[in-house]
Amino acid sequence: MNRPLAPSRAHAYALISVGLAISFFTATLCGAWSAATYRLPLSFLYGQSFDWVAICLLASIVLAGLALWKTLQRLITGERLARPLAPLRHAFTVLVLGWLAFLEFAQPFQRLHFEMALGLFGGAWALACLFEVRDAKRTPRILRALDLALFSLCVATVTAESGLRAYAFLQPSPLFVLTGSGPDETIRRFRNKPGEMRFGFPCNSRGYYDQEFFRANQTQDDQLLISIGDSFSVGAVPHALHYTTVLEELTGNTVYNMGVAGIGPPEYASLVALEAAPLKPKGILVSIFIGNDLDVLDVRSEQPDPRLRSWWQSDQVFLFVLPQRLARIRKEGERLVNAGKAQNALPHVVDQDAAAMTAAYPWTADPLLEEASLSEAAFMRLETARALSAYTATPESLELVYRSIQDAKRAAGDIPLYVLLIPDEFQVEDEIWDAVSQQFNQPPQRDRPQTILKAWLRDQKIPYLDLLPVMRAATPLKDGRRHLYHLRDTHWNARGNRLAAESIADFLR
Amino acid sequence: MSYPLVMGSDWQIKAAVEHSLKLSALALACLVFHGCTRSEHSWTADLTDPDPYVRSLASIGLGLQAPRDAAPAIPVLLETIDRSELGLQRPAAELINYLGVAHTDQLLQILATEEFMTEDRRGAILNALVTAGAKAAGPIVRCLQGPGRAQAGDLGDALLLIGEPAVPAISELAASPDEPSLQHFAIFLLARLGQKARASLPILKAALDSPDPGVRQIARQAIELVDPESEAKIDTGVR
Repeated sequence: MNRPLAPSRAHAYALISVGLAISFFTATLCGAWSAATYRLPLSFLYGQSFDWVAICLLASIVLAGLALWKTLQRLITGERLARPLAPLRHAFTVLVLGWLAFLEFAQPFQRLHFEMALGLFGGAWALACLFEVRDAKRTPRILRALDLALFSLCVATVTAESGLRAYAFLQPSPLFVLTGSGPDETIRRFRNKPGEMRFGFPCNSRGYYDQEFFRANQTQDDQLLISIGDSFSVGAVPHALHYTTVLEELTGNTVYNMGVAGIGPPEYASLVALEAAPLKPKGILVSIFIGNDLDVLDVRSEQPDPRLRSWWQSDQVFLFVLPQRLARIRKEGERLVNAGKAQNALPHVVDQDAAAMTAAYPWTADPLLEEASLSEAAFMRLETARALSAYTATPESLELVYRSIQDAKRAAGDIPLYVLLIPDEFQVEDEIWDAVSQQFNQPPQRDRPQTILKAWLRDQKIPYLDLLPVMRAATPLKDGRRHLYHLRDTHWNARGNRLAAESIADFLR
Repeated sequence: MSYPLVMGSDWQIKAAVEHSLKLSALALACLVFHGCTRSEHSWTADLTDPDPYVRSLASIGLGLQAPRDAAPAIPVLLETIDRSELGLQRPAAELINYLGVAHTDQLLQILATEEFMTEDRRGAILNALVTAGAKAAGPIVRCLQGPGRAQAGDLGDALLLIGEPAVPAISELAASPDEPSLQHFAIFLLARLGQKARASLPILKAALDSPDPGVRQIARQAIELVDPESEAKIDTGVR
């Protein structure tokens, strides 16, 4: 038998119920309003699914209205529920279960989706409350058991996520680095297709311009290094002449080339966390290209509601991120390194030996035979735009680059992380520098971006290699140019790749 | 045990119930009305919302509700194609395709002026031009004669994909002797179209008399491909 409640406590519970009822009713109205406002595009995007959501929202308004009416009626008449705290408990359960469902089915987070989801939560809460009765004996036992089980599950879930966040804050670990799903999407979009041919060499099963990757065998002497970068890592030369392949020849160690064209620092951090670190290399080399890696759009800063996102976007919730990450690490662990070099499954179309390369691609041996990729005008426009971007960068505007490198370092954990600074061609070739520097009122210091970055890297104690002095010291060819970059292409040619490989080999020694 | 907080009679409670239900019904009616009547001005205003998702939805809404007045939406749709984090690339590309017929000139202007756009964006614009079909052929050819010259490869591919409906527009270009390089390119396109470009045969034959040797040569090759029988007649002197 229920003990009679003190009037003040009964009053408080009743007011809580009314407060919840008003809140959820308002939420249903707001959710339905948002759905109605954007009915046309949402219907186009989601088709029948949106129609169902709209119907559920309308039903939620009715249910929430009824729940509000019943709650007000109880307040007026002084009627008491068998379980006075049931509305509060239902609110907690609905919000937590709704949160999990939102993380699973309504990603990526958008405020509009969140508002509609809150409306649905209001309807679910109202439905749960409408089943509450005055006499506890009238509630079927199974419903009470279900209520208790769900509530316990929700408490455990919230406790687990809160606990993980606290632990991640107190004991940072590579496992807890959150890189976001945005970089993953970008990588997926720009990654080469498995088997895609480049200069007679097929990309591996992950879409990288290299042989198959396997997790490092800790007993082997081979010191696996993974190189991460953008189109410089994808390269504009045959595989045998790529700087990672040349680096393998110079050092005798395996170097995996994880290059994806069009990506930037946030994606580098994501690759370190999700693909490089699980392979357990002896080192990770992240390449920062001065030409366009300093001017990356900080998508996260443009996204509104960062506090809401930290709980309602699945790539920010440890309960969702950790299982996927652990599964990936386990999968990599199953792919052990073979004895000897890993071989590509697909045959090469063009023999990768040096003589065959020269025969197939004569410009790899003589840069003066290179054909331009861009017109002169287009090339100068591109280089000028890059120079304007690179030389107006400040330590503040480089916040995203810094944050990404820090994320990459955390994701690497105990694996040494090195940074390679790749200069743009306008910094190396005097002729191009003379042309682009005219765009400035006062020609800037030529290595200014490197100076800013190196100061920060030293401060963070991250080893780095600046290729600008090495490249500027290269002996010019007979036409006075250094010819380290493919003609009007902005990427290294065979000569540039070799010089980079030699510098990296010296650096790693 | 109950503790009434407010003493009320039955009729007061009944009145409260009726008011609550009427309020819910009114709210529902307002929502339905609101959902049916969003104005183009509202969509356009949302195109500058700080939330990129709202901007994308607004561009889709404007494009669907008022395709002919959706010019302001097109740059936002192209931006949406590049924003992977929104997950709306495909719908944005579909809508660009849908709007292509009414906004061919704008799409061509963007293609000609934005030199370094992503492949996805470029692909979406070209698909839209191809979908627009014959209506886009004339503007494409005009663009080739103007700012779109640097994009001749892509525009030529679009004309080829449009196929036979593009032949009249390409033929006009092939008939203009003022710019031999463009004339050459136009005849090349007709040659690629092969027998679909039969209607251009008189223009190709006229090009055999061009003062430019390159044009004469390509015209000859084009005639071979467009109408092999006609070429045979030329060889034997039969007309």
